[in-house]
Amino acid sequence: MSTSASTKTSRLARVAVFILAITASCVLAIVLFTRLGPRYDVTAGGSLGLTDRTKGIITGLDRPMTIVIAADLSTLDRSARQRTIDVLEQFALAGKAAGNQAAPKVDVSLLDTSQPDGQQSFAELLNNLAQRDDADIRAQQAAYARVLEQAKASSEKLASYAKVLAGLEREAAAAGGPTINRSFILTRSGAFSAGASDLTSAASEAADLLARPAGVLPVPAFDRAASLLKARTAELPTAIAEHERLLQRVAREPSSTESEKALAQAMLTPIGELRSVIGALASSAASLQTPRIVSIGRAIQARSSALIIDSQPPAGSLGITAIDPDAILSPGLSQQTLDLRARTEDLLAGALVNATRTTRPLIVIAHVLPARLEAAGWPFVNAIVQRASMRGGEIVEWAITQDRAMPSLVDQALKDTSSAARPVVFVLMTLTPDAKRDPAAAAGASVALSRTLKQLIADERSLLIPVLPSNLPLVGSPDPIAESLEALGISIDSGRTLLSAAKVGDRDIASPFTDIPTEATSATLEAHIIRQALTGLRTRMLWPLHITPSRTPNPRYSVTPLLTLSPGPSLWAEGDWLALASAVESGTDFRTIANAPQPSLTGSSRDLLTPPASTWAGPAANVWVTAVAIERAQQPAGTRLQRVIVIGSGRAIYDEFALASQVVDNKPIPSFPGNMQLIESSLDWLSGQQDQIVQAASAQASVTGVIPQMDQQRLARMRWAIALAPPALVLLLGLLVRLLRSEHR
Amino acid sequence: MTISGLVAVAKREYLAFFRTPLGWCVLALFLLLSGAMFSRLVLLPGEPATMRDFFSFWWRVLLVICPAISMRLMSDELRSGTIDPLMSSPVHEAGLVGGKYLAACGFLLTCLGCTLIYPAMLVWLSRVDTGPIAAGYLGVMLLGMYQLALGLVFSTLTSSQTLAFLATVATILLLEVGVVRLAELLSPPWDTWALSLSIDLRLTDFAKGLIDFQHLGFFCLVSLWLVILAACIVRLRRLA
Repeated sequence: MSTSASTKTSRLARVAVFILAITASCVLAIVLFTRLGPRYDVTAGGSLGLTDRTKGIITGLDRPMTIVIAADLSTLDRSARQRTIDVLEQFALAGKAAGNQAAPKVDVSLLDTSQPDGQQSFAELLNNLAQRDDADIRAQQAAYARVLEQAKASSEKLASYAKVLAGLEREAAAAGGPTINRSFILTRSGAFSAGASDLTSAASEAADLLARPAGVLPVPAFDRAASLLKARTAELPTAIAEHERLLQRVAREPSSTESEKALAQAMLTPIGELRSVIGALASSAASLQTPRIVSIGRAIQARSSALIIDSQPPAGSLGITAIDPDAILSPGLSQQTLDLRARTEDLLAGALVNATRTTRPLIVIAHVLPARLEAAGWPFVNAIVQRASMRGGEIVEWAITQDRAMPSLVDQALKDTSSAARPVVFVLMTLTPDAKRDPAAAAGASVALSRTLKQLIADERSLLIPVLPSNLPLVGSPDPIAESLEALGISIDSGRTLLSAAKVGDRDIASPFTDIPTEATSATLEAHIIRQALTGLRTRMLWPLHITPSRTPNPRYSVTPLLTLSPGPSLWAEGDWLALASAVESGTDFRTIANAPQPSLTGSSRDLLTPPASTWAGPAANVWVTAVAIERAQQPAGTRLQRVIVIGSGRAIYDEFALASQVVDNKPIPSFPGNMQLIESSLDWLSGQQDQIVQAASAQASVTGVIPQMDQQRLARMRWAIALAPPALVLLLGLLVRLLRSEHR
Repeated sequence: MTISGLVAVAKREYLAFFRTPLGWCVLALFLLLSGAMFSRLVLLPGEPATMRDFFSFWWRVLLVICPAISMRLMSDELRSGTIDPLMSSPVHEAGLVGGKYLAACGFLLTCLGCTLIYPAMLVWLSRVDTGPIAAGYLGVMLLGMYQLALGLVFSTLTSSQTLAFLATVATILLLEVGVVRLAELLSPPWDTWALSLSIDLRLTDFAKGLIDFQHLGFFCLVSLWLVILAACIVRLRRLA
């Protein structure tokens, strides 16, 4: 080999070694960057990272959780899709950081139900969820089957008793008994026959419900079957007892004839057995429970759901928490400045906290209405039951004027003083029966309501009290509800509602509803966690009342204003509000009250044009305060938490605004999400579960603007200009340069 | 290798882009495609004023533009035979290749600079978060540098500009589409390793406003490695 060839080979070898060395170095450096490279979020609001609170929650998890979001991504709003994917990625990263690559503390899964794969995975997930609660489902199925059997037997007994009565009527007719007695027997026979028939049809309907899946989840509608059976059986023992008492009175009454006494005795003879059968049925039906998975099933829609699944749930826990998928996947409203990404993060973080909790709060809806809430079919109640269930809570109704005592479940929970005691929150509905229809019932209900409120305050219970305006102060009588609240150190002016002036056409009108500004607030107001949760959410109050500290403050309680309205010429407290209320009642639309009193009417001495000079210290001074949070100043060890929220608008939580929605991109979006948020965060705070309250959304929303709407022609011109003008200019410049160069030559 | 030599080559090459109609045509084509994409993906009334989707799709324009810029860098010298005088000049291979690469990057920067009218238009139309836009531009620039470096390698391998262009496009496509398909066939953690080569996934983070040094390092190091490889190929040519 010549020297030059040898040199060449040597150089080639050196180049090869150099390439290998450089390659190895680059690979090593890339691996190091992958492992150790920092990440910088350069968005204005730092929106690509999780808050310290969320990271803390993830780090504190003692067992792995899985977040599953199923959605039809093809129909999902673009921003909602990006937001959801971003937040899930961040949870996945934080989960890996808190655990490790192989066993992260939080695993995430996004299922696209527009794709066959996604649909299959979603179906498998639902089957698996149902399997997890299989033992509970089977136990409940057996209990329901027993009640259905009892219902069948009870129905036969009722029908048989109706036949006995019919036979007695025939005998009485044959014996020439008085028509009035025969008519009574016939009526009773008909009533028992109808009762038997109703019970049979209810049992048949319940059996149908139990035979097929309720929705997307392969679990029957236990809850609907239970409410059907409970509704049909609840009144039966009372009806039979009344019937029995009446017959016993006739049998004992000296004025009754012997034939009447004999007839009553004949009717009484078979009733003992009937009473015990029906009593047993009612008792069994009342104790029917719904498998825990059913409450989750309500939150799972055909093609979307948002679930937190505990991979190792503790004994007795379902280990699944649902979030309203629309709350996460909502495109949001253009008028909102809410940071939806932060809200999504907080919803998931709150659900993670909830999934690890073993105690379920008990939410008692107390009211003095004549009918049961379930029978009234109020959408608000359904909504709150669903939302409370999704977050692990349980709703119990306490019909104060109907139930002799507090529901036993609540009583037991209140007696429990252990550390694992369930938090109990009373929601006191201050609605009373219509006084025009039944003045006596309305008066009795008011007395019962104020008595209960006083007792609950005295017993130091946690309460949510939405207060309605009252006409009593107008006639010089104190409002008992307002009076009761003085014990908490606040004074609510229920005789004057805040009205706002609005323009309709060229006329000024007074409006009973007011949007609460939740954007720019003082530092003190924002400091309260509920206030933070409301920031950026549209909140509307109807007939708002203002709250002031009471003249004799109660040092036991600390009071924090939650919702405020700035004073101004278009806002005043109207003493003659009943005149407007009558106009509202006569109309059908709350929103345009053309015949309402003019603001000029506010010359009345009863009116207040500015907030009373008292009153609140700090930023809440000299503003109208419409909601307050009250907390016992000192919490003695071993006592239950006592917190109270008073909202100066009785309808704020169960009127049309809380559930009002509008359609955006073919999806219903809450019009006043602040109203529902106020309820949810209040319940969380009252039950001591404030770590579930959405907070991050209150961070100053650095929301990116949207491309404004413009007419098609302008849009087309803009598009053509941006696509064609720059290249045309470049070509022109190139031509010019070329011409100049050729001239220069 | 001297810095002055590298700068001299870079300056000469950069100006050369504007001396031929090809440079102006490439720039015009880039602006036409980008403008059309911007108007379809961003100028949507009622949609957020962000360029996120635009950045995620922009690499498809670069897929055509970067090979078009890089194809002539060395192939032209090889075809016209001007490589030999260059090799005998005092300029080192690294200076020659590096200078040409810097010129190509400069030209790409000029192209991207012309598109700053898009964010300017967004600022005019609405409230804009400029952080993700700046990050997006950084990501696109890094991606362009990576594609130019790849094109430079192919340009040193052949005297045919067309062949260099096609080879670069095919390789980028293979890396983008191929790795995703490959990842689908692999099981963890190999699928993650395969996906780490995906350009699209890396660009997505920049587009949403996240500057991840993992991606930054990847693009810079791979580009550097490719430029060194190109210089080595030129060196080997000289030795051969």
